[in-house]
Amino acid sequence: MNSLSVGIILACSLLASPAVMAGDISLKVEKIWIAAVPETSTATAAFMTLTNTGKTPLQIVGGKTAIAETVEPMSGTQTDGMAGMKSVPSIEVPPGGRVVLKPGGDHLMLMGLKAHPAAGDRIALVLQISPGDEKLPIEAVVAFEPPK
Amino acid sequence: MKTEGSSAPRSRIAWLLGTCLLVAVATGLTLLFLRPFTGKQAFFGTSFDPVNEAYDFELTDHNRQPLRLSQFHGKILIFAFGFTNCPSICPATLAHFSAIRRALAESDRDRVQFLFISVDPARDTPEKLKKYVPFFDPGFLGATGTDEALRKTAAAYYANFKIVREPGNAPDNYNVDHTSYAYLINPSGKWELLYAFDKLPQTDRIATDIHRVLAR
Repeated sequence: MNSLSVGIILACSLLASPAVMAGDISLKVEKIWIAAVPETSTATAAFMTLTNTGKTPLQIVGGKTAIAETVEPMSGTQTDGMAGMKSVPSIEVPPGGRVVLKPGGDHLMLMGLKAHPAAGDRIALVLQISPGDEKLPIEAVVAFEPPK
Repeated sequence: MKTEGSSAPRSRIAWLLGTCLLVAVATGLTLLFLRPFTGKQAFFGTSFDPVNEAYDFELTDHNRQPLRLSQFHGKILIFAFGFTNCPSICPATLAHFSAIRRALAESDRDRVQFLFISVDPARDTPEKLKKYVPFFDPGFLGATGTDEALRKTAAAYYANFKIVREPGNAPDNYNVDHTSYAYLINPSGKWELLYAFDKLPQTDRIATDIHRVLAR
C-alpha cells in the first residue's frame, strides 16, 4: 500500500462513516463499538455495521488492535435453544449488502486482552479484508451498549 | 281500518327489534374497540398463567455467602445465566440490566435485585465474579454453585448450558453455550415473566413491567 492510499484511508477513517476504496472494493463501516468489560475478562468483542457499496463480495477475515493479541471473526450460533459462537474463516458482506455485527450474532472477538479500556475510550482497529488483503483502519468507541 | 290497526303494532315490533339489534351491534363494536383499554393489560415480557412458585435455588454468591432465591422475598429478582469469559451475550445482558435499573423510578429501584449466575464454576470463582459482575453495576450480585446445583437450577427454569471446545485449544480455553433469557421472579417468589435476549434492549418497557408488578 503506498503512502497516498494510506493517506486517503486515514482521512476517510476520521469521518463519521469511514470507507476504504481500492480498485472496485468499497466498504462503509459505521457504529463501531467494543463492549466494555472488566479486568478479569480475557476477551471482548467489536461490533459494527458493514455496508458493501461495491460489486465484489467482501470478506472480513480478521483484524489487528493494540489492546488484544488476536482479532477473530466469530459467528453467533443457536444450538438446542442455547446461544453460543463458533470461529469462522470470515464474515462476508455481499455486494450491495449490509451486515450488522451485534451481541449474540456475528462479531469480531478480541482475544488475549492486553488492556481494558474504559467506556468512552476510543480504540484503533485495523480490519483485514479479502480479496486483496486490504487493510482498513477504523476507530471504535468502548461502550456498554450500541451507539444510538 | 282493521288492516291498518293490525299493521301498526307489527311495524312497532319491527322498529323495536331493529333498534335493539342496532344497540346490540353498537355496544358490541364499542366493547371490541375498548377491549385493549379495559381488559387485563399484557406484559412486555412473556407471562405465565398461572404463575408458579419459582425454584428456590441454593448457590454461593460473589462474597462466598450462601445465596437462595427465597432470600429475595419482598423484592423482584431478575437473573440470567452466563459465564465471565463470554465475550458477546453476557456483557450485553449485564449492560442491559444496568440500563433497566437506571430506567426504573427511584422508588422501584431498591425493590429489584439483579443477579448473574455463572454456569462455569471451574473458572468463575466467587472472587472472579466479584470483580466481574459489579463492574456493570455496583448493586448487582454474581453467584455460582456446584455442577449439581447449577444443573438443577437450569432445569427448573428450562435453561441449558454446555461446554464447547474447539480443537487445538488449551484445556482451560473453552466456550459455554447457554440459554440467554432473563427471568423475573415477583416479590412473592413466583416466576412471573421471561425475557428473550432480543427484548432486553427495550429497557423502558421492561421498567414498566417491573413497576406494574411492584405496584400490585
